[in-house]
Amino acid sequence: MIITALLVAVVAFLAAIDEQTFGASMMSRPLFTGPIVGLIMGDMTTGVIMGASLEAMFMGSIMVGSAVPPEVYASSVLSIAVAIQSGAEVGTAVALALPLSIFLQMWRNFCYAIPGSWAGKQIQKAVEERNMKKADFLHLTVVPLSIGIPSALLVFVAIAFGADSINAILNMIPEVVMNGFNVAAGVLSCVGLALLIKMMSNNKVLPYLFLGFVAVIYLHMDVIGVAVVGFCIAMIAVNNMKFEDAEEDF
Amino acid sequence: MENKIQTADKEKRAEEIMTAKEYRSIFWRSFTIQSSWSFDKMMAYGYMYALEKPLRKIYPDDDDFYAALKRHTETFNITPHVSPFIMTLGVAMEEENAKEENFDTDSINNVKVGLMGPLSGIGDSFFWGTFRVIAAGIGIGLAQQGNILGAVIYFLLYTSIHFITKIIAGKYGYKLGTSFLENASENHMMEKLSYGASILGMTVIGAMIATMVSLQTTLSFTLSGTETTLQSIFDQIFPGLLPLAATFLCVWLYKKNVKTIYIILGIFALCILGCAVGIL
Repeated sequence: MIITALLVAVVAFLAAIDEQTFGASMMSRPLFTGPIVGLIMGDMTTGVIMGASLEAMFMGSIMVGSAVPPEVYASSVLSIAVAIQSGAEVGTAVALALPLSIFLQMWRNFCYAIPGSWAGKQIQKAVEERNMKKADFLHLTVVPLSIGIPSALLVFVAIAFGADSINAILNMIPEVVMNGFNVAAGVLSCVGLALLIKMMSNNKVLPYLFLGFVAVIYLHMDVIGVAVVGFCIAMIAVNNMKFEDAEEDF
Repeated sequence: MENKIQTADKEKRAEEIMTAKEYRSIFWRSFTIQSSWSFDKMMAYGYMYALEKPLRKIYPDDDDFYAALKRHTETFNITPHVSPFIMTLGVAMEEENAKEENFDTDSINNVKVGLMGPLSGIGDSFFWGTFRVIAAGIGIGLAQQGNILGAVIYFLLYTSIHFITKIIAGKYGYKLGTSFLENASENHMMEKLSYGASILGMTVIGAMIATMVSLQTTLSFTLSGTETTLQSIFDQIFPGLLPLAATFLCVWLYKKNVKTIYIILGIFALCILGCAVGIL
């Protein structure tokens, strides 16, 4: 049992870091992890079918923009394992993995905020020190490990000692903290955008920012549309640029 | 004479920058673009990591090399699947910078920022929205009957498109960059590029504040007998007021030299507090 739990935890680890390390290869989706977990647990067919059901369930759950979907990867590995272990229905298995899913999403956002920001700072320092080996190492390890290890650990405990054991602990996290983390995850992208604004802005180009903002808010355009408009305006502005040595203007 | 040798050297170097080896390096490294994703720098260091090898080749001199790496540590974000396009475009711009003395290095980041919005828009809707759904749909159909081919077909379909897109994007980014920059030194081309790109970039950042930052208040109060929410009043006056205010508050804090970690911790604290008192 311990070895099975360990192997499933490895799958959960790899699935959890897919977005980070494997370029969102989709190997982390339940449709793909289903057969693998099935193979480890000794019931491939159930794994495949469970994977398909979970995939259909989480089809719309993707990380785009600021939307906060529940964590799919490690928690669906757990759902599939629970279903094979106890012969539970899809719904029951998902319900048992739900606290983990909610917690891991919160944890992921925390990793992007604190360990991720810390890693960035250290990488910047390493570049200043001209130590690219260190910079590359930090880039490749800090965030994947801080997301992957807790995911794998929780999945391991849940399979070895029963999902209820971790759910009891996870349910102890106050709801206010969970909600606060979710709100923060929606807001936090403004930090990165603020850095860009600080770097690029001068009074000459700042009005264009409001133009792009208003185009989305009032005209309900999408980013591609705004970019096309921005491109046209940029072309017009560039063609109207005056240079001191431009003689053909006279 | 010495000048001539230098020019010949430069030309020789220029021909050799992007060989199959560099394309491969960018291709494989681009998979880790989100490996150090954070809310403040996003994929900045992933981009830098992917460009390390070609940059080393462009700048044999250590000073230039590290200055170039530092240029690519500014906040950057894109759909990972199309990232090689901007990566090789960045190589083309750096190559031009090495050749041209009066190259405006600010334009490199301006172009990156200008392109990240529209390319992500296309990449997100194609990869996350369309192609993943089609591949998964085919896979689910087979897998529901317990057929392992469902998972295999899903993976092969998605991965082949993923890889092909990355390879093509990498080739075209470089091609576009070099052909566009060929006559960049003439006719104030560089100034025009830099200014135009910063306009495009700012417009796109404005759009991204509206789409990426979400903040709403749930505060409600009774106004002359009817219950009103503060958000509905905001929505009537200026719908995106809170995300915009939050962003510019961060800009202001950065200008006051407040450290990123304090800004992030502050946002967490305020959000939890806001939820506790019921205004968020």
